[in-house]
Amino acid sequence: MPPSQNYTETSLIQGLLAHDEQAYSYLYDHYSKALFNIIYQIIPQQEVAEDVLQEVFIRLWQNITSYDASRGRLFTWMLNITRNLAIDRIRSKDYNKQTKTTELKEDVYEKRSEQAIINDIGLKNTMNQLPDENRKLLELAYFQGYTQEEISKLLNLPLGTVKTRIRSTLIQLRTLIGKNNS
Amino acid sequence: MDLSCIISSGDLELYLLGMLPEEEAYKIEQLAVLLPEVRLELDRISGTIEDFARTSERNPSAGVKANLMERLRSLNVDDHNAGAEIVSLPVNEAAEANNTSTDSAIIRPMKRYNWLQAASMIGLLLALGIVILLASQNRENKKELVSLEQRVNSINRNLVEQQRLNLAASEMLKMYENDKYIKIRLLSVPGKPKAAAQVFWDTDTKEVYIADISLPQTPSHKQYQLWAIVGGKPVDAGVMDIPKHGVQKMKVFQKADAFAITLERKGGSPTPTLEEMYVMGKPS
Repeated sequence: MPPSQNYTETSLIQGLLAHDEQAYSYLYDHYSKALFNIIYQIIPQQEVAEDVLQEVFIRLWQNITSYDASRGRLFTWMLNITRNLAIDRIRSKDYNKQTKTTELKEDVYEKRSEQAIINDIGLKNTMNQLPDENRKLLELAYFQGYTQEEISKLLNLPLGTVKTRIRSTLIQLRTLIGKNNS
Repeated sequence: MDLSCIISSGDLELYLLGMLPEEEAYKIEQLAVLLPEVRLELDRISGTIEDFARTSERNPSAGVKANLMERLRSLNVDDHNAGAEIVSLPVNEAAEANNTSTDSAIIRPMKRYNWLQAASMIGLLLALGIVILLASQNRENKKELVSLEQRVNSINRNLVEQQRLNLAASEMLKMYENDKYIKIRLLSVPGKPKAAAQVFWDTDTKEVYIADISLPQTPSHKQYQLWAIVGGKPVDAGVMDIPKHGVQKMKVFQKADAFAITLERKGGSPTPTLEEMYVMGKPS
C-alpha cells in the first residue's frame, strides 16, 4: 500500500487532530488491515467486521483529542478502541439475534479456532512456526479472547505459567515476524 | 520484584491482548507513564501484535474506504454547522427581546406596555438567571472535578510507588528465604551513626546483591560504595544507586572475607576512604 504522503507518527497525529482528510486516508491505508484483523478475530464475519471497522475510524475521528502520546504509541490506543467496539458489537442484541451465542466450553474451542484461523493462510503460516503448546496458547488468548483463568483451566497450567508462557510466545512471535519480513 | 520483573511478568502482554481486568489494566497504564522502560516494552509488544495482525491474508473490501471517507467528510460538515448554531441562537433571541423592550419603552407611551410583554420579560430574566446559576454551578463542578482528578492521580501515583516498594520487599523476602544465598548483615562501625545493610551472595553465580539499606542520607555529590575485602585488601564491588528500597546487583566475587560500605565521591573511588566507612560484616 503506497502512502499518498509520508507521515511520521507525530505529523500524522497533528493531521488527525486537525481532522485533515489526507491524514485519515493515510491512517486507513496504513492501519485498516491490522485493525480489521483484530476485529475479525472477535467477529469472524467479513461484512460485520467491515462495519465495525468503519465505526472504529469514526470513533478515532471523534476521540482523537483523548489520545495521549505519552501513554503509548498510536496503535496501542487504536487497538483498545477497536477491541472494545468489536466486543460491544458481539454483545449487542442485534448481533446476538442473528448468531446464536456460544458458551465457552472445551469442545467449542476447536470449532471456534477453525472458524477464525484455519482459512486464513497468512496467520496460519506464521503460527505454524511456533511450537505446538505456544500456538495453542496464542489461539486461545489472541483469537478466542479467553481469560487467563479460563486458559489455565483448559490447558491445566498454573496461572503464573500461563502468563509467562504468553510472554515467551509473543517474544518468539516477534523474532519470527522479524525473520519473515527481512 | 523490580522493573525487570514487571516486564517479565507477562502482565504487559496480557494488558495488550486485552486480557487484564480493568483495575489491573489501569495500573499498567499508570506504570507506563511513570516508567519509560515499561512504556518501551509495551510499545514493542504492541508492535508485535500489529505486525502479527498484518501477516493475515485477509483485508477489508475495497469499497469500505470510500464509504468511510464519505462518512468522515459529512461528520466534518456537521461539526462546523453545529458550532455555528450554538453560537448564533441565544444571541439572536436576546437581541430580539432587547429590541422589543426598548421599542415599547421609548417609542410607545408607558400605558401601551402590556402585561404580555412584561410577563415575557420576567420569563426571560428568570431564564437568564437560571442560565447564570447553572453556569456558575457548572464552573464549581468543574473546579471540583479537576481537584478530584488531581487527588485521584496523586493517590494513584502513591499506589504505584507503594506497589514498587512492595515488590522490592517481597523480592528481598524471597532472597532471605532462599538457601542459595549467603546472608551477610553489615552493621555500623564504632564512631558512626547506627546503620545497617544486607548483602546476599549467590553461591551458584557468585553474584553479590545489596539490599535493605538504612544508611544516613548522602549529600548529592557523594555516593555509597560497596567493598569486598579479599585477602586483606579492599576490592571495589560497585557504587550503590538505590538509597533505600529494592535489591541491587553488585559485582561478582569468587571469594571475600568481608564486605564494607564507605561514603565516596559520586561515581566511586579506586580505593576506599577508611574514615568514611559506615558498615561492615563478615560471612558467618
